[in-house]
Amino acid sequence: MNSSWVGRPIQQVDVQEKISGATRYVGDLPIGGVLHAAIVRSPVAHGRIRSIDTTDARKVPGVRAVITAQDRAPGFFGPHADDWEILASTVVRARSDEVAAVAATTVEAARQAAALVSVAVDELPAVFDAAAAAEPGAPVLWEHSPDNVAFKFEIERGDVEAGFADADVIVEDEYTSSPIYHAYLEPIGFVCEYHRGGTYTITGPTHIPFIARTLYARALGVRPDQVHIVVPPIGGSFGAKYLMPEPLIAAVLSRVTGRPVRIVYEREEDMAVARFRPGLHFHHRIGVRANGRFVARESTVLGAAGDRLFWSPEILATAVQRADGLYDFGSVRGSGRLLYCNLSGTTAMRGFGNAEALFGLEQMIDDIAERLNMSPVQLRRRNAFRTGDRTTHGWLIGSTKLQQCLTRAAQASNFTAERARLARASGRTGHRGGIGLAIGHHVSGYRPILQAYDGSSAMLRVGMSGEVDLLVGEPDLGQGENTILAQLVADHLGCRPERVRSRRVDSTLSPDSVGTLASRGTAMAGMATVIAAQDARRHLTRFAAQQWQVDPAGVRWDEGIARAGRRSAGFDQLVEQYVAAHSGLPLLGRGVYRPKTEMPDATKYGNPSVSYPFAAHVARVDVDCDTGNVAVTDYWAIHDSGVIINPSTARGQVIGAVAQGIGWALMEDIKVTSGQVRNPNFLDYRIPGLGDTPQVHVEFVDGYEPNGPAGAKSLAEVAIDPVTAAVCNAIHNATGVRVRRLPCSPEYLWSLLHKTASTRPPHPPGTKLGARDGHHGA
Amino acid sequence: MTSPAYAAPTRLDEATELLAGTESARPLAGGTDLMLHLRLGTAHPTLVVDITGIATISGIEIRDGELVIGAATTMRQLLAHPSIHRRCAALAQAADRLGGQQMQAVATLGGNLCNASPAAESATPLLALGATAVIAGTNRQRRIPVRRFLTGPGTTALGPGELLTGIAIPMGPRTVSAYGRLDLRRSVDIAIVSCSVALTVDGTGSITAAQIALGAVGPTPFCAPAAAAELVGLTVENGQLDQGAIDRAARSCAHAASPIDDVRASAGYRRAMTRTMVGRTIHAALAQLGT
Repeated sequence: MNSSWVGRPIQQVDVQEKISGATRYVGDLPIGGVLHAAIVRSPVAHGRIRSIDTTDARKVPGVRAVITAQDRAPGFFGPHADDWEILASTVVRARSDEVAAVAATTVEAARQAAALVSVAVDELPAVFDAAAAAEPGAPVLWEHSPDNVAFKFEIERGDVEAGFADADVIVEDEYTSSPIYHAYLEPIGFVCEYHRGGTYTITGPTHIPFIARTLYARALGVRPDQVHIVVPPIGGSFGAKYLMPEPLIAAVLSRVTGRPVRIVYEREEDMAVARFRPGLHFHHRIGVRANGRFVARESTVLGAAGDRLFWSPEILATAVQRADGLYDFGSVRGSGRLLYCNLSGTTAMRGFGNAEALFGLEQMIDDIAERLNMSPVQLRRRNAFRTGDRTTHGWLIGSTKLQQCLTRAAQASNFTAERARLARASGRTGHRGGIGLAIGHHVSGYRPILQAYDGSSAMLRVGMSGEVDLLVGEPDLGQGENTILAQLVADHLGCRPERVRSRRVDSTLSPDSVGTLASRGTAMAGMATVIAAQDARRHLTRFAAQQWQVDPAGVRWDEGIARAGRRSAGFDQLVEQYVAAHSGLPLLGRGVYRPKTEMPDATKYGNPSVSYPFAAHVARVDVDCDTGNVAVTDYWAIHDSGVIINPSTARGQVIGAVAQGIGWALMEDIKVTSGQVRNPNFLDYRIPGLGDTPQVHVEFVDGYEPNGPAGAKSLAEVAIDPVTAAVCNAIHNATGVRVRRLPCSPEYLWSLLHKTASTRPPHPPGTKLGARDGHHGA
Repeated sequence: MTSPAYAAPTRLDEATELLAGTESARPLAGGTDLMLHLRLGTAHPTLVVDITGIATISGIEIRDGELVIGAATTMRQLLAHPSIHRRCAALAQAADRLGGQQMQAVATLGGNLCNASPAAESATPLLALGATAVIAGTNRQRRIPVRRFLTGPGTTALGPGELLTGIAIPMGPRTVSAYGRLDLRRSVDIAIVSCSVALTVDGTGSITAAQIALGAVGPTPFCAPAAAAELVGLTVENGQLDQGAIDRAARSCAHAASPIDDVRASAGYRRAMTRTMVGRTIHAALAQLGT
């Protein structure tokens, strides 16, 4: 194998089309005869539908259909519980709930008609946060869940009581992470077409095309093969676009009208009905010996599911248990509850519960270091898992360079000396500088996602003129997976990466798949692609050997040229001969990757991922104590993701994640009143701009993961995991104040610094403020 | 949903006639606010009169002891003009904080003022600098102080058929000024609190006149004369002023503010930040003396 393309910072293979505007996203696809859809939503957060009057809407010129739950057999379905309906039949449980939909010849007509649909409801008492929903007597959303508990998760390993009894110091604290919007560039959109004969084509984004196909088929009352999923280029997702209700509405409208139907949100609608990252409330307890050894950890987590389940149960489970794969806490006990409440359902986002848990834990570990008079770097070193360890819940750490990441992060930022200097100069007035460190880890795939199988498969096709088409079932979300796969193919097949076209996922052509989630794109699709490329190359080598009448073992490849003795031929030339010799059959490579992961047992023990990436981050901040404004002035992100296949896209991933984390830490703040999002725009929902993003010093330590493609591990999610804690530890260093809830907005920090209660209720939607501000755990 | 009619006159009298002739007509300059209103359905003009082709209402000149800025002058033009930086630093600083660079390229001084947002960037500098609004009607021209031009959130003193054509800033004795503002992020944002401070200082360093204007903490941007009075008669020494007086002025401004709770900030925070930002902006204005 050559390794000339892996490790090179080549430009993303699709960047030219993207920056020139040639890329056709779902809103750009030319579709003949397409109708435009608009959705009518509930006028209240919770209510019983009395009647829906569509008379005026039907009169709007251009309207082809107005549908309600009457127009289809009412039925409940959903990825976790039967809590989804295509259109609400009897009860609405959030303002985002869909009650009717319009298809019209123009977007304007559809919207005008939707505004004329009159929905009469008997309003019911509503509940907007998890803590309130958990109280006895709270309004109940679902008959199947009279206590509003949508999901429960419990885990226990070792003797926790003995662990805490053994501890010299116990720290206990509460932290609340906030819901945030995914803020992808491309709002949600779909085109759906019903075909006579009873099949549907659904064109639109998804991380998990084949899981989506199963759910959508069930919702539409057809077999999975009657739903044809096509995934066009995706303009970002960050976890929002797994399974969505929008394509189902468009599908029904298409069946009713007999025409293809497109639905594309404007930004305001996308944000107003968004399935946010869930807000989570943590109660953490850590027991530690005087020598710095952790001996016990206990955590309880409360989260808001919203009114139906998307991907929040998995996030809750991750929030409870994943940190046990980073540190050896000795004995652990965790429990989590997810509560229904009258908000739009919450869902997955980069960091996936782990970033939320680390937001608190990584600050508490600084507190422990302070209590023990230890260096925070040393305390983390002592308790973090090492290469070859089997973790508390059975993860096998095949490779970790976390210790090196810590060393480099501390060195590059002059952490220890700066932290001591800034602590001496800390205060609550004027400008104060601070430096903070936090670490993080993640998975590269996760065995329990799909019961049937783990891993990935790839199909490679090399045509007569040497063009390479690659089919995998893991869609590129905009993060650059197609480029990574092209580099892997180039190395293993002997062509140039720009010859490799990753085809869009199409359920009638692509291999079945688990999908692009849990940071598994490179780790899984990458490995399958390597195997497929090797398979194709083997066929070509054997073919060359036959032609030259030599032993296949005697054929050597070098820079895309096959040689055996004095005979030689280029890749293109050989492929041409191969295809001709096979009467037009392309050179085919099959890649099947079955990772050695384990399905966790009934106690949740097992190794669910092929590999684990790690990171150490350091943030420098300037706190303007008189306004509460925090500027992140410098940032170091040191990563172990094994071999870096493309340093340029990898850097981009890290810088983007750091910016996203800074937004989460300091400014992103969804304002909800009575279940209505009040700031569905980028002016009042602030994401960081260039002015808010510091220079990020990204470094990758040398590593090699034996279970990864070309030695690589995942990167996408681990890069956001430490950010909020690193920033908040820096704020603590500057001011002595602990930030126990997100976002640490200027107003919130100012109120902490000056002990004035903010005049408005500070708790974010879906959570209840439980942080004891200014109080340093027991 | 009907699109408004569009007209692009090149003469001022044509424009005022068009505006007078259609009750719901709206002038269009940079369009950064008007287009938003159209999209949000908060304005329903049947006629849009594009005034950017009228040469006489763009540009900056010094005339009769006044700095006269055409209403259709863009923020970028303001920023490119040395006299604005020299004579009206607060206005230059405000223009630099308006939106992003793309918006600064098209947004106009007149448009920003006529949109009459309580947080309008140009309002507090013009109030502090004692500017006058120059207004053209179909038959007459009139001039009123900017402080009387802004009548409420989103409303101005413009009558039917009237158009703001320019802003006149007096060019009296040496006046230093500064604009201060608190945002929730460093990129494009809308002020939580904004303020401008203008100080007229004589040859001995004595402050002979002062004005402080506040934005985003009341229904309109407004002047706080009682606060400014705390500074008049004081002497600046080595660029410094009695800190007690600065504190008194800042506290007085916080007292004069009548902020509300909204999606951006609470009233209490806005009031406290008024004090902080005014104090800082007085220092920033004093720093201009050194230059």
